[in-house]
Formats: sequence, C-alpha cells, structure tokens
Amino acid sequence: MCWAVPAVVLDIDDKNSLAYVDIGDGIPRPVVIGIANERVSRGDLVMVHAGVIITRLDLDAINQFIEEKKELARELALMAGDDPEKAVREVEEEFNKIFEIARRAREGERGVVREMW
Amino acid sequence: MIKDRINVAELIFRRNINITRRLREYIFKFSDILRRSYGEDYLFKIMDFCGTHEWTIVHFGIRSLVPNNVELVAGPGCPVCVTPSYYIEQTIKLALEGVVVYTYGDTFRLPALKPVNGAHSLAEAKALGADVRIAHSIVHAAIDARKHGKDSVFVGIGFETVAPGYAEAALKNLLPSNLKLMSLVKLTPPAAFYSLDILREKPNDYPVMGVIAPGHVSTIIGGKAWTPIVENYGIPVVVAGFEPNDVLMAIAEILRQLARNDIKVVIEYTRAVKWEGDVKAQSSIRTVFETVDSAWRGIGYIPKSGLALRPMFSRFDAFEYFGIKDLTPEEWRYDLPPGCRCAEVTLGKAKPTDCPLFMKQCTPDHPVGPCMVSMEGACAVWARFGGGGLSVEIAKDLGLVM
Repeated sequence: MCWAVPAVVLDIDDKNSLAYVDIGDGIPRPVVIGIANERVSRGDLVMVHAGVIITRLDLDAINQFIEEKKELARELALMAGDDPEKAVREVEEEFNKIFEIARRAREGERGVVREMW
Repeated sequence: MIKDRINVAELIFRRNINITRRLREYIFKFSDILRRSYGEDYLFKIMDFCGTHEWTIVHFGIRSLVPNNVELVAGPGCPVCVTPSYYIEQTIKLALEGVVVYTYGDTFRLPALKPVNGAHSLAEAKALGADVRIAHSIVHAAIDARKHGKDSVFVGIGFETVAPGYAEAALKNLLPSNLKLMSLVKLTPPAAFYSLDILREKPNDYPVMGVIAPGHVSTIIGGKAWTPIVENYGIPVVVAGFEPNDVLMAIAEILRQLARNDIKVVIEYTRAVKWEGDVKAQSSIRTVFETVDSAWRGIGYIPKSGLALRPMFSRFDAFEYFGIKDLTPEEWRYDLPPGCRCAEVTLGKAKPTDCPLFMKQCTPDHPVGPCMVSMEGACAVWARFGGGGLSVEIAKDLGLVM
C-alpha cells in the first residue's frame, strides 16, 4: 500500500499535527503530519498517503539522482564501447530540458508541462 | 500553478524516454553477463513487495522491457488483499446494527467469505440501508463523525504508511469520542521474509534473486529495515520509487549487484527515503501501537506482523468499545472463496493468470477474491492493464524494443 500523491503544503497547524495541502485542484485538504513536524514547512512538496504526510520530497536529492544517472550512463557506455562523455552529456541535456520547463512553470507560464507529453 | 509544480516533479522521473532507453540497454547488458555465469536457462526472479510497484510495472509495460531471463514477481504488497474476512464480516455486522462505518474506497467493495444478513461487503450493507461512508483519511472521518455524533468506526487497514497517521490522531486527540479505530495495520518486512521463505521451500523452481522494496513504506521505516534480507538471504534489495524509470533503475541495480557480486541495500528513491526512515513517525507508532502476531487472509498467522492499540489508548479501540472479539490463531480458518488463488498470488507463488477464476467469474466489476478489488491487488492490476502482449507492441512503437 504505497499509493501516494504529491501535494504542496499550504498551511500548518503545528499544535494538532495537521497540515492543509493542495494536490493540484486548488482545494485545501486537511492531512495528518505523520513525520517530524520540523521536516514540513509551507510551500514544501510532500507525498500524501491516505491523508498522511509520509515524506517531504527532497528536491536537492534530484542532483544526487542525476549524478547517479550520469555514472550509470558512463558505466554503460564504457561496457558497450561507446563514448562515455557523450552518454553523460545526453543525460545532462535530458535533465536540463526538464529543468527549463520547470523554471518556466515556476514563473507562472501555464500549460508548459504539456510540452513534455 | 501548483498542479504544474507537481507535474514537473513527476515528469523528471516519468517522461524521460532517453533515460528509459539507456536503462533498458543497461539491464540487457547485465543480464547477458549473468547468463554467461549462471547458464542460459537460469531465470532471475525479482520480487516487488508493493502493489504500487506492480501497478507501475503492469501499467507502463515494464515486463516488455526486461530480457527473458528476468522475471518480475508480485509479492505481498496490498493490505486490502490480506485483511482477513473475519474483520470485514464484523464491520458489516456493525454497519447493519446502525454504527456509522468509515472505510477507504477499496475496502468498501472487499468481499467477505460469509455474508452477514445477506451482505457480502460493506457496499452491499450500504445498499441494505446501512450507513457506510468512504473516507480518504482518518482526519476526514474525524471531521465528519464530530458533526453527527453517532457511534462510528474507522476501518483502519494499511501498512506502515498509514500507521503514523493513526498514531498522531490518537496522540493529539484528534478523534471525537464517538469515533473508534479498528486497527488492522500490517507490517511489510515480516511478510516479505515469510514470502521469501515460502518461495525457497518450493522445489524445482528458481529462487528470488532480488527485491524491489516498497518506497513509501520505507519513508517511515527507512532503508535499514531491509538489511535482514541481505544478511539472511544474500540477495540485493533496492528501495525504489514509483515512476517507470525508478523501477527500471531498481532492476538494473539488482542485476548489477548480482553480476558484480556486490550485494547490499540501495536506496534509489533518494528524493523521499532516508536510511533511518522518519524517527519521529517510528516513535509515535511505537508509543501508540504494539506489535502483535497477525492473520493474513488465506495465508494464516505471521508472527509479529500486525499493530494493535496499546491498552493506554484503549479509549480509541473499536474492538473494546463494540465488544468485538479479536481473531485468534486457533479460530482462524482459511478464508478465501473456493477456487480463488489470491494467497498464492500474494506470496508470489502464482500469477493472476494461473487462477481459474481470473477474468472468468472474477473481474474488477464482480470481484470474487480480495486481490481483484484494490487498485493495488495484483489480479486487479493485471485485469485492468493486461499482460505483456500489448505493452510489447507499444514499446516497439516507441522504438524501445526491436
């Protein structure tokens, strides 16, 4: 039972361990903060499972994720006899493309995410 | 705006077909290396212990992207599938006696083995006039129950992910006095060990060689909870996220570990899971609940695999308040309908298509067994999204498979 939805924290009621989140439809919903309260603050992207915040998405960890992907690409290219640097560049370009879309979405450009679909 | 932010986070891990292609190449490379050392026919079974992983695997056709010497097996990852029929019968009984029953949407349709006054499920009880309400969380139920003040019960099924919510609700007194919690929470690691043991006993078959551990359960219990699998079974464990690339990466990592003989627990879902898990959630669960032996539907009792409210919190306990006798190992009886192979499917011993009822008597519209009910039940997932055939065609269209 791992089904969870990403949501943005709108408000926090620390005393009752409650938070109000938006799962993308604009309706604030009360959820229980299941994890340490200090891990959750307004504006955070969290995973909500059956009305419980089970984790905060650590977007800094995405850099680590990309590094791992690059390492993987390098190893694969070496094994396949390809140019490892080219493989690494491919991964970088792929993520840069997504980050560019993310930046435009943050700046309020509507529907920009659809470019990826 | 917010929707876009959420979508971007998902996109990074989903719509990234170049990375998918790379991962697939990587998986094939390592499977070739393994084929050379283990032999042409050796089948590498990788088990996913999470209904949501099974959903990702089937929905995105991941089985079409792995070589034929790698098999993905669904494990015990669906709490709705393993909740004993006895408890469902008890909640139907309460509902028909006039108690307001709050339940998650999938439990609502879960069929019990024996009908209670003609009702096989909470949905049927509602059709008979009982007050059964679907809630998406315990807070939702608490807010609603406070309004009407009638005796109510929350059917608290789930794994470690829901437990901190129930624990916080008890600790912070969020529940009104008329709402009681029926704790049916199950723990995943004991079931994982049990299922690995069972599969080892099966003769003439290949053992499970790697485990994709549930990502969201691990946000609470941490990556460290899976070290016994490495220590006792000597197989790789990867805690993975739920996007297709996450699962492919987990498969690649498992094969890499096997090829390099570098067996360990790796967290792939680094954006959400920490090695220690969430210490506060673990402590609130320990404060409110005690670990007890628990019955799994069609399987029987698995030691230390469930959570019951501690006596200190008995004021929230539905068993105590409504005078429901808890199930005991002596009273537990095999509780699947005749012909249903849900228990074997849950333990990874059979595929949904091996069941004689699958898509004949038992369909998502008319589920016979519990695995056909929940979105996370292996049978329901297979019924909705099909097996390998279609996904291979789509993968060819996308140029992922030749």
